[in-house]
Amino acid sequence: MYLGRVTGRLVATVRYEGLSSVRFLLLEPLDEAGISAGEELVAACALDIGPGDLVHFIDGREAALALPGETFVPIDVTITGFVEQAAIGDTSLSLDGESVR
Amino acid sequence: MMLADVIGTVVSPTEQIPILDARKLLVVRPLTPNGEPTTRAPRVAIDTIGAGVGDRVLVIDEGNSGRQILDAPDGAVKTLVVGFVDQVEVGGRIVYSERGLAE
Repeated sequence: MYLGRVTGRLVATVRYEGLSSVRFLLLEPLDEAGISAGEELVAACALDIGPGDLVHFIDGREAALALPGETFVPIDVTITGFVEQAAIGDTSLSLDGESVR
Repeated sequence: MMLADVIGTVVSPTEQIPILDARKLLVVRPLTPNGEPTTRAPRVAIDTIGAGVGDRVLVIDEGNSGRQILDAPDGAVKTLVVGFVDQVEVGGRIVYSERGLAE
């Protein structure tokens, strides 16, 4: 899993039938300092998470397994949880993506 | 598998997929065998051995192995801390020793 920050939402009305209960969010991967590390991704999410939230996410086959219900679906990135706080060295990443040193 | 240092902890008690409930999550930084940083992104890994910040550890980043370890056939798990690294030898030379014996 990786650390990320939710940056936005994505609406796709017509989609694979097994994905009807899934929302799509835009996500930027973060490095250990909480700084954007790489291009934004579109992630599936079945949790109560929205823009600004700090999260962890999973990729590959496990992304589909992380969804409730049908897990044989074409998804390669899924948000696995809300990060209340990540303490990394002297840095504490917390709510709303604030990075506090 | 990869070598990594545990550099942080993640608290996510409120909203997460069920398989992560009651599991300790660690932030790990992938390393070369010599202990140098790599270009690989830090991972959020499930602890299975009682590791903590400062430990040099062995990390798997592959789902089927993770599911076997956690005995969760359909679990969405991929990255797990599975061992403490005591010593690393490269080309006949000890490049890391947990007891500080690196030459």
